[in-house]
Amino acid sequence: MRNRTKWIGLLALVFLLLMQVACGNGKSGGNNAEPGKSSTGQSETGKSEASEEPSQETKQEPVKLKLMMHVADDTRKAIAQMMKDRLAEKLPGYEVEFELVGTATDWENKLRTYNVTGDLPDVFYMAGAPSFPIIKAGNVIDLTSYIQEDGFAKKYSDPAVLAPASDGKMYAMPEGFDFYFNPRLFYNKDIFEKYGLDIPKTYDELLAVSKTLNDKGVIPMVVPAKDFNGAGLFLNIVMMMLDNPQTVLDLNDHKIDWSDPKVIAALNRVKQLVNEKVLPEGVVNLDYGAAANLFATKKAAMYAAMTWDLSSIEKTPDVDFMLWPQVNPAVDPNSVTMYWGAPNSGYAVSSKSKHIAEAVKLAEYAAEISSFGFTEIGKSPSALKTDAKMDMSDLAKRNLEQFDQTTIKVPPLALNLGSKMFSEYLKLSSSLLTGQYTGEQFAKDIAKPWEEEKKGSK
Amino acid sequence: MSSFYNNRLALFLFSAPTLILFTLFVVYPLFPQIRISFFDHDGINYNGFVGLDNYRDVLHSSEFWHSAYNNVKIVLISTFVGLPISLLLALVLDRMSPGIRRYFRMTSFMPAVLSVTVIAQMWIAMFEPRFGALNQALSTVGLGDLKRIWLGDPETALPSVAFAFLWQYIGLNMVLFYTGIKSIPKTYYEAALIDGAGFFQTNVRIVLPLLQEVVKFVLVISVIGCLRQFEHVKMMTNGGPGSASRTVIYELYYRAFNMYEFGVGSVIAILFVVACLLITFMINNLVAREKMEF
Amino acid sequence: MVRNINRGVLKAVLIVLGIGWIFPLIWMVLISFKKPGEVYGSPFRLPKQWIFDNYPNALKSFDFTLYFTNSVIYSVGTILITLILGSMFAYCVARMNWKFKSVALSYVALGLIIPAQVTIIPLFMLLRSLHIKDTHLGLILPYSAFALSLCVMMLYAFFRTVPKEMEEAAIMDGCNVYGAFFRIILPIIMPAIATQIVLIFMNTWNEFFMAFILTGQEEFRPLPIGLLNFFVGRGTPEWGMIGAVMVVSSVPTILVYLGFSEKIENALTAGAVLK
Repeated sequence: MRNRTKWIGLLALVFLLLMQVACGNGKSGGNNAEPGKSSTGQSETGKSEASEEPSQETKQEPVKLKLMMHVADDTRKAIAQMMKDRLAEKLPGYEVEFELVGTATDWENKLRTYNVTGDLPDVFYMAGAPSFPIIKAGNVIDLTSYIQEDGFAKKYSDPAVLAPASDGKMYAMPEGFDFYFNPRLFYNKDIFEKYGLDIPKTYDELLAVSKTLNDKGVIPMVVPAKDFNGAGLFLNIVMMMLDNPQTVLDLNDHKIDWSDPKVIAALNRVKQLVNEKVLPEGVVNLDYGAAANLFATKKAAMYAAMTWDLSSIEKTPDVDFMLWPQVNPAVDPNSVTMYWGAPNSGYAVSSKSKHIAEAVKLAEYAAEISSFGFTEIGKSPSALKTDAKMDMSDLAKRNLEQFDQTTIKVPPLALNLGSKMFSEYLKLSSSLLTGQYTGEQFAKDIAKPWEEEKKGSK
Repeated sequence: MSSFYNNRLALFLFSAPTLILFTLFVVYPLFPQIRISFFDHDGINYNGFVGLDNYRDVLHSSEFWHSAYNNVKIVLISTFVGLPISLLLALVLDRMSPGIRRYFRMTSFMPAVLSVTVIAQMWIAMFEPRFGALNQALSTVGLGDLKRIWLGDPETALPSVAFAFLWQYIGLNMVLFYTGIKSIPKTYYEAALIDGAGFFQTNVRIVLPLLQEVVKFVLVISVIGCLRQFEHVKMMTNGGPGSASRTVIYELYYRAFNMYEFGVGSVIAILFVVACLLITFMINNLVAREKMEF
Repeated sequence: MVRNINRGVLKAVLIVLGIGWIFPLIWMVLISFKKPGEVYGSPFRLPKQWIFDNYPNALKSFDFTLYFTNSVIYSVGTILITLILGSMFAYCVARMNWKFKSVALSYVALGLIIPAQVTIIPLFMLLRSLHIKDTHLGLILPYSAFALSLCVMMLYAFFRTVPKEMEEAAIMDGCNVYGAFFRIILPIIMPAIATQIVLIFMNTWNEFFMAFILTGQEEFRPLPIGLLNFFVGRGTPEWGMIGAVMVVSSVPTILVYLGFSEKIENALTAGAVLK
């Protein structure tokens, strides 16, 4: 008994002492992000050649900067390598430490942690929901004046790509190509031929084809759903768009709520895809790799994916894409699509950087190399012009043509949600994929964060 | 002699480094959490003092209680299914030939030795509804009706994860029990055997009472391990579908890092630590007569 | 007779269970020899065609040496610090006369119930203000601090079983307290220390969460993080290579366990682990 009292006493004492230290420390955090201070890795550092200027006496210290990006796909891996390789030539006098994060989830976690602790690198890739808290915390600078002054803005062929955030500022250097990414329904031609199936033109035909495929032991359609939440990020939106593109636009502008019958109907259609076994059982746990693998090994007939995977998808023989099956006779699937790019996507510059002007240059460099890489390796068109040679495959060409001819391009609704709403939205979207959760329940459960989101936006 | 044990300098040199290191890296980081729990805090800024609002929020949140309930389920499964199995295996093992003992000790530890990433990936493959070994085996033996979408169904997701977790640590617990049994002097057994007691009688009358302390230790370690469960859930189901398989720590992670409600996250953290303290206290006082130094 | 049959059945059950436990190992090795397509569709069959290239390919595209070196540094560093500090602390709690020793023991035992996830952000800031973030020490110190709880509890139990006569004899020989501790007492509890080495090694080698958040730079990342990035970070996953990487990175833990397992048993059975 005596021990216990002592124990509590000691704890209380330690507690009081530490509260003092803790509070003092909490406030001072944030200013220690000295880019040069952290030790730089030899392997990760692209050292620039010493300046060739004859005036050796003004020997300048190299500008030390840190850049973080994710390298979740092979294209980005190659791009990161290019950034290291060309640094010396394009940005002499820069010493850049690259922090390359292997997965999108890791990258998101890193951004969150760094944002909280004030350790954001000088330049970093950001996009979608993780960018909002960073902007809100004032941790990134407005790039508008910089790129107007140095003429970088002129390199973008389509000014739409430079669309600012809702407050009129531009926080990230767009890479120019994400706008062209769109959700596609790829399919294995050989499977359809083998069973004498026609390409489904309407939603009902899709259900019928899927039934046949299931009977033959082939999975009709896969979509990545676990780490990359395909349902939340595009499938729900595609279903709304096929019914009425205006629904997506209105929801994006907060003009309607998730309880709108059209929204609920679209969500229920996703549920139905699971109930009718168009999507396989357990699709909710299908991660990116598994979905791609099932399609590539011809175990699944159709693959709903974003076109940034086009270059790896077309490595599978006998692959093509089809138009999304028609849901509403009034909406021609050939005329609507969803684009991907959102404001605040691209390379941002930390407001705590010691060398803001140089960091902006680095961000421009990063955006250009990304655009170059995605054009040359990823075969993706880009609004940020580079000297990349685009050697498009037939499939990629047709994808671009189809994209260009659509008259209505709906925004990637999910990317425009604030972080709270975004998390809840993805969570509920995964519930939809169990086939046991209805659009009505979804609308009810999303109501609270949605109200907060609407309030916050005003 | 007493001067030997009263050497102040030695006492200081022996105890201070541990206390400092431990306080600095384990205990100290808890305190900012306590402060944050009274604020509306988005991870970067204190957006005003909110008193007990965060506590109210958590206590009224059905998600939180659901995750707590999930933890309770995991604890119950591991305590009433996992530990008895481990104990029984240990008792059986004690009667086996040295070769078998050696083999079993080696293999039983394997899952605990391997990284969670590997274990989680393997169980994902096992539970896969179409190609996974589990459903395929069920079909083969004619129990097709029992097939489930193990990780994709809100009903079975948590039990499946719990099972994988349980499986990983059954062997470790068994080894702990086994070594406890080994430390019981052989003379006790011999006495019982002379009395003509069988396997069960010997164990119930002699081994179990002597094993009290070990049981308590394993119980504490295993209950706390279950309460802290995060990695398996994160890797196998991401807490889903929806929030079906979330544990308290997952919920904490979600509220703080995904929803940017660090105040709420801190409340969950504090409640968690308090709950763990209470539970350990209860085990210490209820399970065995003698107190464990804890 | 009945007894023998029972015994046989039990034996069979144990052997089957044992196979179940080494199953992940088998699974891993099988994958590492498969072609990508085979892994998902028939995960538990033998490869139709044995692909041996997975190993060299994986090691080429995965900076194994870097991650491995880091993991070794973290594990060895944590083991050293935890054991030195932990054994000294456990000794002075078990033996020396001071008022607060049981309080101190309970205090350190708190570490068992504080999950790192809870304190990760303050920890992150602490490391930064100590200027040890993104150094090896920046992970070794938190690891050691968290490992101390179990280590102290276990060693404490052992010290209590060591008879006081051992020290008395040492004093007679003219040892002071430090000499007695390092030359007489520590060697006696070597089996317990061996056990701790294995336990700490396994925990540190496989630790994921702290390493993930606290190591900002590739050059300081240990194997599990490198492994995860390799796992999910592939466009079209090359499962064969993933399997190969998993096997290679698991080998050290298995070796350490096998090497020390006999010692562990001795340690645990040497008595009174937990009394």
